[in-house]
Amino acid sequence: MEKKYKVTGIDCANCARKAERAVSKVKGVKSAVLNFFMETLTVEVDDENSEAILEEVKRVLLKNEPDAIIK
Amino acid sequence: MNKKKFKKQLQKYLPIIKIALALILVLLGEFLPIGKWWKLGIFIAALIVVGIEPLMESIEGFKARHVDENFLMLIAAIGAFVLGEYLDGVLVLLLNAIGEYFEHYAVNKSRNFISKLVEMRTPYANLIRGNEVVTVEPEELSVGDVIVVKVGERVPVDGVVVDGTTTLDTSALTGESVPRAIKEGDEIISGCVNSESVIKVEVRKKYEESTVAKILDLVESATSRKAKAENFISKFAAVYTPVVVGLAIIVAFVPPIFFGYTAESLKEWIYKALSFLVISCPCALVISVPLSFFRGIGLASKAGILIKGSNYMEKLAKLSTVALDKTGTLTEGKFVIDFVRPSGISEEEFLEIAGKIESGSNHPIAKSIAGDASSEEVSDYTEISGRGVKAVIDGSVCLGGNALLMEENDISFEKYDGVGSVVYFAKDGTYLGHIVVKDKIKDDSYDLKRSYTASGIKKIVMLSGDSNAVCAEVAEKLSIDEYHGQLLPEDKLNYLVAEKGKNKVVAFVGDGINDAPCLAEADVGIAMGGMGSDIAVETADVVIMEDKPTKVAEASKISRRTVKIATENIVFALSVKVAVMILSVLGIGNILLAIFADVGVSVLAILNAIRPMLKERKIK
Repeated sequence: MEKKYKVTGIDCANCARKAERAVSKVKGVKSAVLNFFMETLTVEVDDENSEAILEEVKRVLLKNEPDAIIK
Repeated sequence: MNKKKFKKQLQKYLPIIKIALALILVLLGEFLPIGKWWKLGIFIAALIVVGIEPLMESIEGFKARHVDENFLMLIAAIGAFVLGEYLDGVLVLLLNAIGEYFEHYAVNKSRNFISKLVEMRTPYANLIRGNEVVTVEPEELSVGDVIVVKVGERVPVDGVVVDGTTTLDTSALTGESVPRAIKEGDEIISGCVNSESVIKVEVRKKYEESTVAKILDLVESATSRKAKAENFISKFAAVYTPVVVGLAIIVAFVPPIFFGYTAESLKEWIYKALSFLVISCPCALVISVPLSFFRGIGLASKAGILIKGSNYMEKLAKLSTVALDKTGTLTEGKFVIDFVRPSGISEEEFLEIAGKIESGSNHPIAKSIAGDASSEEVSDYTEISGRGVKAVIDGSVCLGGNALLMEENDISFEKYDGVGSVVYFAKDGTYLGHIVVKDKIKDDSYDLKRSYTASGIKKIVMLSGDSNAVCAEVAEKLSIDEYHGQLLPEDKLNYLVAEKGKNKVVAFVGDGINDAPCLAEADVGIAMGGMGSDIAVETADVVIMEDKPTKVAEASKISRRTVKIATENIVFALSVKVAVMILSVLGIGNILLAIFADVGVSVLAILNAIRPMLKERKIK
């Protein structure tokens, strides 16, 4: 399942890169692209348990970037 | 409310205020004839002003369990301070803050550049409901609704004109400034601006399926498909910081072992190591490389070329062979009269009667012969499938069609075997003559050879199902290097596979209706004619809005420039960083050189990345 979020408030390109890596490592995430310029996060997650995985994705992102706003 | 506004304003200007304040403090501390302790006080104040934010960021970083570059920068600054180099210490953070401010500015500028594309979307539509016109959001429209598009407004969804004639400005979609004339019955796509008079449009596609929504979605996701260069940088950045920090530790503590463990040598080498910390952020690379691609995709979109991913830009930049479909791609896909051969009557007379005979037919060839001729005088009209037409004009039985039609009606006629499609005519059993029609080559195609060569494409190939005679003629007119006629769809596919096997980057250009497999097989599949066919848009890697084959050259040119800039930035940033490390160890450079190099590289790399846009502005 692919899901796209609008993510604003990321400080810098390198921060985005780190957050992207952190999100990619979440269990159940197949791929994650945090596009710093478009301010979008595109994640592909396992269909099973996708709700919980997406919650974890958001949590990890916010832990890395506390100022980020996810819509 | 007011408080909120004030806070927002403050946030906007805070970086500048901080920079200015720190700068004043540094100047005071450096040049005021005051005592040592006063100086220290002023520098500490400056350090706090520029140091608070990195400190907060570092704490955030620790919470997320990673060492932030801000923290390393902070150590470098405090380290220099402790070693008695107050000015160096403050400048590390001050210049870093200036660099960051500039970075934000450049990123915002780039974002605006892309969001200009979003202007194609209209916020409202004028829906006719009963006797009144109501304003609704484009998303609320359903197929079959009739809307009004006033002068100056953008067409909100794809539809068909049901009332009125006007001209449309399609520049936002195609990058072309020539307006398009539109009349009742014409299909129009969303995103165009109505520039002459009010029209009524019947909705054919919902907003989500309309051209505008598709384009926006495409451009938005394009930069999420990363180029190889971006992936390289991403991996590189992950190891770069730890390696540089490791080197810093080695530089700080290993050489003093050999130079004697004196306070003096320890101080010297720690100072050198601080320079390493200053350049430990891969920021210049991490921002400038994706920024280059982001810009490239934006520039291409503006020219009416939608590239579906940064990875395709890299392929376009290496493009060596372009294979093009003929009909509808290089030619108009419409027929025009090539020559007329009357028999026994004048050419004028012949054309007049031929026009009348064909006036009732909808066949593309018939239409090209009929032109504006009126069908009023035709009293009885029949289409004979696979043969032609029979029309009764002024009581005479007239025929227009192929050789079979003539033979079946026992008419002796002059047979034509050359290039093109032929139509024979007869009246009351007497042969009148024949007309040869041809598909017209697009005006734009004549610039094919020149533009492709100029953009670095080495080989142009035409692939067609048409006869070799027709292909030869088109190829000669357009100076195309190689052509293959009478191909079946699988032959085209085989050609692409063979060409790819020669280690060449191959693009296929087609109108996308019959050649979806070719679009998928090629390294870069390019669909022409905009959003016409959904399959084409889905399978193609690049979508060209305007029916112009030379746009491929432009796409390649933009891509080559983009990749060149990205490469320049990688090489430049890395060499400067390595140079700083070497100079620092040799004792030639100092921490100031390192910070200037770090911030300077970031700024220059960003400027380089946005250079194409700066250039474009100048042209306009």
